[in-house]
Amino acid sequence: MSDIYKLCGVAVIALCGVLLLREARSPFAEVAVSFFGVCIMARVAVNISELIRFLKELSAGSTAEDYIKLLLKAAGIAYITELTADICRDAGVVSIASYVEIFGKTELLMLSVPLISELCRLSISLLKL
Amino acid sequence: MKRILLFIIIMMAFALPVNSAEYEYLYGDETVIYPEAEMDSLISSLPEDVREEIDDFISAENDKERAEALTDKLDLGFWIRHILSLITELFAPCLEETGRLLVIILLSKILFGITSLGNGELNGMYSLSVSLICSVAVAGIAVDTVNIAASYISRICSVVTAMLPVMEAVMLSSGNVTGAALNGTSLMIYITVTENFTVLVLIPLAGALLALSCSSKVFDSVNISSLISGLRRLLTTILSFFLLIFSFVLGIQSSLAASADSLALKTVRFALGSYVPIVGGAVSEALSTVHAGFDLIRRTAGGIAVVIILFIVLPPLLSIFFTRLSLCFCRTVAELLECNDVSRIITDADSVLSVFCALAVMSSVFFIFAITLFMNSGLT
Repeated sequence: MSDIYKLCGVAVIALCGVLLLREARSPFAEVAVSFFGVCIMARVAVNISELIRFLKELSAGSTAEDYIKLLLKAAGIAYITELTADICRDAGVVSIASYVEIFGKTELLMLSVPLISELCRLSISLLKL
Repeated sequence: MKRILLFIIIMMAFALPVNSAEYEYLYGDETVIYPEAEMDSLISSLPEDVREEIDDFISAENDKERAEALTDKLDLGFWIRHILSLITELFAPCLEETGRLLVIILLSKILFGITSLGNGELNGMYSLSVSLICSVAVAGIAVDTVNIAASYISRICSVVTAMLPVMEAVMLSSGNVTGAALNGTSLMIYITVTENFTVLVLIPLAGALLALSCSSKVFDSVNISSLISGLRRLLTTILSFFLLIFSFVLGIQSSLAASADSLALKTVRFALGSYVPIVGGAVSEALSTVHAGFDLIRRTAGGIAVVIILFIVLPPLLSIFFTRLSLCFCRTVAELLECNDVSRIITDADSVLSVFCALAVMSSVFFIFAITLFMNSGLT
């Protein structure tokens, strides 16, 4: 519980810092935004990694293991893509944000390709039965 | 002189001994009319597990032992115990499938809730990936069950095809010539139609519908679910009509054939009784006794045929039932969690499986009906 207070405290301090830097028209304002964003997300990533480790241990050896890995991978790709794109937009570089999003969508599509081929294989196996 | 000679001859004729012969059928004697070759052919076509279940019948040496073995198999307590053991055996894999699907649904919902993406297109791609993952899981379960149903239909048709020579041999031996011809023809037509319909229409249709359902997330404007449910209703109606027609035709044919053959038998008996001197009546009665033996054989063969069909039909039917139960439970959970895509895919898969369940039940009922008609096709 104390972690959420710490995180919120850091976020408020970061907000105050960024506002002061913008008021002073400092070029480091956007850098500060990105820096604090990455720090907060790194702390979130620690929590998520514990959750992922728990899920992996729970599903180890079960028939749902492959599906759980795929779900976590898809969620990770979507999350990281969104985070990176937001950081780029906050820094004012919208074009890079778009490229990151396109790459993320491509990655999700590449993740779906084996699933589509598995579905095709199942359907064709019925057609050939 | 001539009169005296004639009188002596007549008196000598009266002095000759006259014995009446009576045919006595001893219960327990092995009848030579038992269709040994046909039964061996039928038994060799049975699956190994079914052969083990009716081992006591196979190893019986005479009609009495066969009847006793059959009586044991027709006991209600035996079938209740058998069904309970099957339930115990088949429930564990069903639970595993349910658990796997539930974990996938819950996790996809949780992760979707955490990763609430601001970008609409990225959100769409992510939900498509999650939807595909759930689709593969559901499609895997559905395809396995379709394979079970298809292999059952193929197996039951081949077993009933092997039963036909037994039924025809018994019916021909007992004088039911017309019945043998019609019964075999009707059953062969039904078996051929069922096998071809399953292989050429039902299974490819199931594959196409499952693929369409799983990919319908891509084409949101196309309502695949209503198409699938409509096709399911249409196929179920066609199958019901098909069963009704065949049952009606088989019932009428059996009744008419039995009447025709009974008339022929009564004619033979009358001719024997009336035109064969002295022993005609005894031979006519002997014919009745022989028919009693055929009656026993027919009912024994019919009874074991029904038992074989029940042994073959119960495991796949219970398997399909448990799969549908697990899909129903997972669909309820998906609807509670508002995972509409997943619940729609599960509904479509359940619709496809319901058609196969209907076909399996229909085939089993029809074959048992046909065998019951065969058992009751005795001549009077």
